[in-house]
Amino acid sequence: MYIYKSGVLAFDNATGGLTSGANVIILAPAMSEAEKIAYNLCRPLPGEYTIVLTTEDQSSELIDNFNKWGFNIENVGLIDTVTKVSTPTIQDELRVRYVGSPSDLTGIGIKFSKMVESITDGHFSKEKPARYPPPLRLCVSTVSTLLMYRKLEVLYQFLHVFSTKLKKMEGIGVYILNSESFDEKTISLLKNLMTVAIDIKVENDRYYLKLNGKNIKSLPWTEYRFEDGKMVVHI
Amino acid sequence: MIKTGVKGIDELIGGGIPQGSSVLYCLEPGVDGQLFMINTLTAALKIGKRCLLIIPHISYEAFRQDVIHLNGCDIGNFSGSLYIIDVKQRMEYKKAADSRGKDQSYFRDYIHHCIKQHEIDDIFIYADIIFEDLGISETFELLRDRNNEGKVSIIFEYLNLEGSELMKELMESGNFQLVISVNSGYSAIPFFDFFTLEYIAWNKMPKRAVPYFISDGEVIPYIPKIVVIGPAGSGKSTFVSNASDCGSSTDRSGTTVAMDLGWLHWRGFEISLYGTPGQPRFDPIIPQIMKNAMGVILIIDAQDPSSFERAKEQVMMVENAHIPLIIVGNKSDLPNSADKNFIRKILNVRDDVEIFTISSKRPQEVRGVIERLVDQITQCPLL
Repeated sequence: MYIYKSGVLAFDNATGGLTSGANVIILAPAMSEAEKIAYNLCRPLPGEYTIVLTTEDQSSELIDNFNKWGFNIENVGLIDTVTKVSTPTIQDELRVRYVGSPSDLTGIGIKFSKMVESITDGHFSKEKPARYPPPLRLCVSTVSTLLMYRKLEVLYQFLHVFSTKLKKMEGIGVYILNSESFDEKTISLLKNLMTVAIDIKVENDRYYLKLNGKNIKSLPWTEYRFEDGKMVVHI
Repeated sequence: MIKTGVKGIDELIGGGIPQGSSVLYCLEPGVDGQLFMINTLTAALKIGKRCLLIIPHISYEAFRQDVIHLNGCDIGNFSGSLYIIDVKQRMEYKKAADSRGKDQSYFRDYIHHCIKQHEIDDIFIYADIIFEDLGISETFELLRDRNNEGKVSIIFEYLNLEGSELMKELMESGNFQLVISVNSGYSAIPFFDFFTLEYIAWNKMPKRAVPYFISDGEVIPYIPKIVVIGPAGSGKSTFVSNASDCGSSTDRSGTTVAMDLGWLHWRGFEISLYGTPGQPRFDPIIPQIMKNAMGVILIIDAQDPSSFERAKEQVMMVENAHIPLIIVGNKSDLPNSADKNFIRKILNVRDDVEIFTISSKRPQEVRGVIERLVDQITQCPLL
């Protein structure tokens, strides 16, 4: 079974690396830079691919950041549900595909399938995949926005179908949810789909995370920070 | 009547969608199936139908660009006959209403207003969000109320997140005259898409799945494998060659030693033909070639009784595959060739197996056989 390492030592030590089919939810308050954690966990290692579904930031901003943080951008695809709202004429590119709005779950599903197809066909990047099917990290940034557009039940079903397909592909998923904007029932329902939960809190301008999940060592509240976009956990 | 915009489907359903019908395109998440609804919409606009398009998930301009990109048609050119409810209007009616009842009345009135004022022929609805806002049965109720005495066709696209159970429920609701589901064959990766004609009210047809691919803005159904089998010298290579738009054959000393391959575009379908070598020493590969075939044509030399015993062996090889089979008595233009009754008797085939007597040198007769087999593959009950 393929093991997905993140390069974040404390996380990899606790989880032993994520196994194929793992789903990680990051439960974070606003302004806690949860996206950066997600991107750290989804940074593609050699021979791996990452698909980011963005519902808040434009793909162009993300590409700038990924370049700054030293990602192998050739192996990163973006499904952008933001840019087309203001620029309807924008056309799909090999690594960036646009959907009309975060409410268009049909469009999101199709663009995801097409991107996976081009990765498996070998058209996506020059680099050869580490194995077959190609290792794939999916980042949904964020589930909170999707929930603002669609009903919880519908989104749950959608994410269930999505994560099942991801499991068949032996990929992993990382999902961000604003823990302050939704009630316990919503969070608990979405947690059903997950194998690992990362809780985030901010106290006195310091960031802390807590790790729980199936078949992993739990991590109590532990401080973390970012250095040039790279996550460093204080142990 | 409007066309679906997919030639192969129009063929299957008897020419198109009768006016006043409700049609459902039910998409599995992730399947590349947007063109079904879009091609029906543009087909309707192109024949001058006045259409109402309800796209609550996207702005009109973004949708217009998507259609241009997907099938090359600019729906902006039909501004005189295309009326839109897009995400902007949806937000307006959501804002205007502070209760579910008001939501419905606003939506109902808006649709009613459009149908009456613009004499709408067809409504195209991206139903996910509308069903979510109003409920499935409520949406049907209000569309039925305002359906201008059943003259308006209503075409839905719906993302099916619940699978076959919901499909069954929607079909049993009696709200649709045509239901087409669009799915993806999926293992570790998506490897092919297919549509299934789940229900047609005006045509008694069994449920059947047909693979398709997308090329130049068209949905092209395809039959990935028809196997052509028969004794050596029966005329299989000539048959495949005359049936095909293009193809290739591997011959040695005038006999096929590997395979004849042919491709043809026929009645909106893309079809691949696999002609097998006829000599008994190649028999071990026949079961492999037969794998996943959708139909078989068995060709015999109707003028050569000495080959009938071999043909009988081959009938037994293919009959167990339980797929449509046609027997062709070739060289029937020559004297003393066996007729259909004799062939049926000598080969002892099932009554439902059709027999043709043709000359495979005549492309028109060859195409007649292909046409009948395509009918059997797409329309006959599973054997």
